[in-house]
Amino acid sequence: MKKSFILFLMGIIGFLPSFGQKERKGFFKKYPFVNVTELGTLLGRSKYQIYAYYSSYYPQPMQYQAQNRVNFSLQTFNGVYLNSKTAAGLTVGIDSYGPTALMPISAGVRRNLVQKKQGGSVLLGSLDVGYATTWLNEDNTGFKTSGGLVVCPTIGYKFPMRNGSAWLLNFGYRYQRAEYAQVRNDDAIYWTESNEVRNYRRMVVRFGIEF
Amino acid sequence: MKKLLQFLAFAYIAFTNLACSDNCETTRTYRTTVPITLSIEQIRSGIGSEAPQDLKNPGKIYVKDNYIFINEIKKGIHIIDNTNPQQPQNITFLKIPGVVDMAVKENTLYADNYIDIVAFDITNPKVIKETGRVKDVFQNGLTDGLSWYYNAQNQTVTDYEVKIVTEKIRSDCGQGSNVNPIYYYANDVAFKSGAVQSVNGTNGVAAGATGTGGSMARFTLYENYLYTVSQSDLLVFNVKTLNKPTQQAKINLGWGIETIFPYKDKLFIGSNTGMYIFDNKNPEKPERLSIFQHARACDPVVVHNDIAYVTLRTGWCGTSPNQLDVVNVSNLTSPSLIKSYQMQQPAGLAIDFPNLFICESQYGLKSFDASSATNITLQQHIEKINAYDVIPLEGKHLLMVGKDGLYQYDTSNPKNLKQLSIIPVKREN
Repeated sequence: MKKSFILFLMGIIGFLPSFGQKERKGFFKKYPFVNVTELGTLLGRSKYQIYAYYSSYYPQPMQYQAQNRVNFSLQTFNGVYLNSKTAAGLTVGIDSYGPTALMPISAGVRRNLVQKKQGGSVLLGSLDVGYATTWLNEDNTGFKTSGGLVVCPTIGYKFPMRNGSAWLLNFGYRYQRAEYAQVRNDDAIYWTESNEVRNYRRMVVRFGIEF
Repeated sequence: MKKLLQFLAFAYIAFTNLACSDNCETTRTYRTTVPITLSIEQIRSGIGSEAPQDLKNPGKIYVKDNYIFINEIKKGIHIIDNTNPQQPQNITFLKIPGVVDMAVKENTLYADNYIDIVAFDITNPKVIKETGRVKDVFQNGLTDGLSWYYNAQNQTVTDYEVKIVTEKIRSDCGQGSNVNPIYYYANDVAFKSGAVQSVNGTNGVAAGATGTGGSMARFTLYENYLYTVSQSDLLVFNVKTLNKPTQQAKINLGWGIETIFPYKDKLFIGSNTGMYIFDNKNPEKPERLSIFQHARACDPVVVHNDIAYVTLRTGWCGTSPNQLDVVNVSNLTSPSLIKSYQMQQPAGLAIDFPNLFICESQYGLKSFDASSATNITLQQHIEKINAYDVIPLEGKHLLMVGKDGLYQYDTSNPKNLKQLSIIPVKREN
């Protein structure tokens, strides 16, 4: 039920651009509708302890292992141009971090920072701040994932096309918080309960289209 | 302006590159075991009477006359004066290292002290004296999923202590293949044999002389003999001279022995794969008659009128369905199953014919009418309490122990049990 609702919502969001194109009067005449859909990767590194266990009986030195991470991100921004340079709206995305799929919903701003000449490429800044939901996530038995704050500033290039649309290439930083809690099994002698606070800190590279 | 912006853009990208390391921290709390080593002197001299203490981790219970003996697992025995069941008085705590079992004959209490069996004079329960000791009887034991063993060369006993550990670990955000394992130092084969103690039945012994224990007891008294079961053996002690027990016989039974229950001149020995029946006509040398095999499970047994009631449950001992088996034992050489009844999580049980009481762990206590073995019907279900062991006492009176305390019920109306009192358990973990 929940998933079908999300699909329905995404369908509407996907449909909005065409809707916006037609209804160029009233509100949308004053504030033109804009959609930015981007596909990207989240690049980062993870450094973690291995063989970490209760160490007072057999003391062990701490050992760390590092691995590079490449994850996938998809997002769509729907908003309006408040003036010729600044657009504001809502960003909905999907970030997949290994087995965890987060669906961040953010408030977003896009602003053209520098344009050398009319019709030429634009240096573009953007900022999304929001909350990641776990609506698309499936948990392992005995575990519960919960989402958290998302902050994503980027800077990049906009290459306008003649038809009014534009290609985008954005570079930035993406911070995302999530929690992964293990529910305690009460009946066992050797029970465990845990909570992992996940601070994903990634470089994001996104390629997309605006119209 | 443009140059500044470009510089800022590059600085920004450089910064994000350096700071792109996931930071995940797992805080985990777990219950584990750590080894402790005790010397033989420490074990033998660690005995003494102390002021009454709160119940923290109670094990088996044993009843003799107006006294209730509650084992504080591996720490000692609480002695409760139950002259007035509505107001039981905790009078003494008898400190005995490694104690998990006990039995009382007249004014002598027998208890285990890791490797030894010790006899105590309890004529005055406030001042208890050690009167006799059989040394080096047990080599190892298993209680509450924790095993201990005796090292004869070093004269030490190694036991394991439960510890709750909280720690923080820098973890891999769920994306690596190896989740940090928690290592337990022992007891991978952990049967929860002690924690979910047991049951009792009418012990089939002349009232007055000896007390009543649970059906999962490992100690039992018959005439002038004390029977104990270890993990693999049946040990017989002569207690004709009450304060001077002597070892009489040792019979190997195979692995996984859990309980001993005497009925008439027979001994019912529960293991986690079946129920052994021993002929006890010659109490010095019990002889094996038969074995009733069942699925691997925890299996407290009570017997009444040639009918044995066995509860099987899923747990540390195995994975059988949760049920009550009613077994005809009139022909002891070939016991036969009469009927099985579906249960929720049965632990201890007790028969006060025609009433059968079954502890259903977290599902509470059930009272059944067992007048017909083929049609056992539910009379009352007390929910919202944790129940694991019951002992019926004389005068329509039931003792029930659960995680939260020791309850006493008036069973004069088996359809409506009345709670008389509760001794609370103050758990530390």
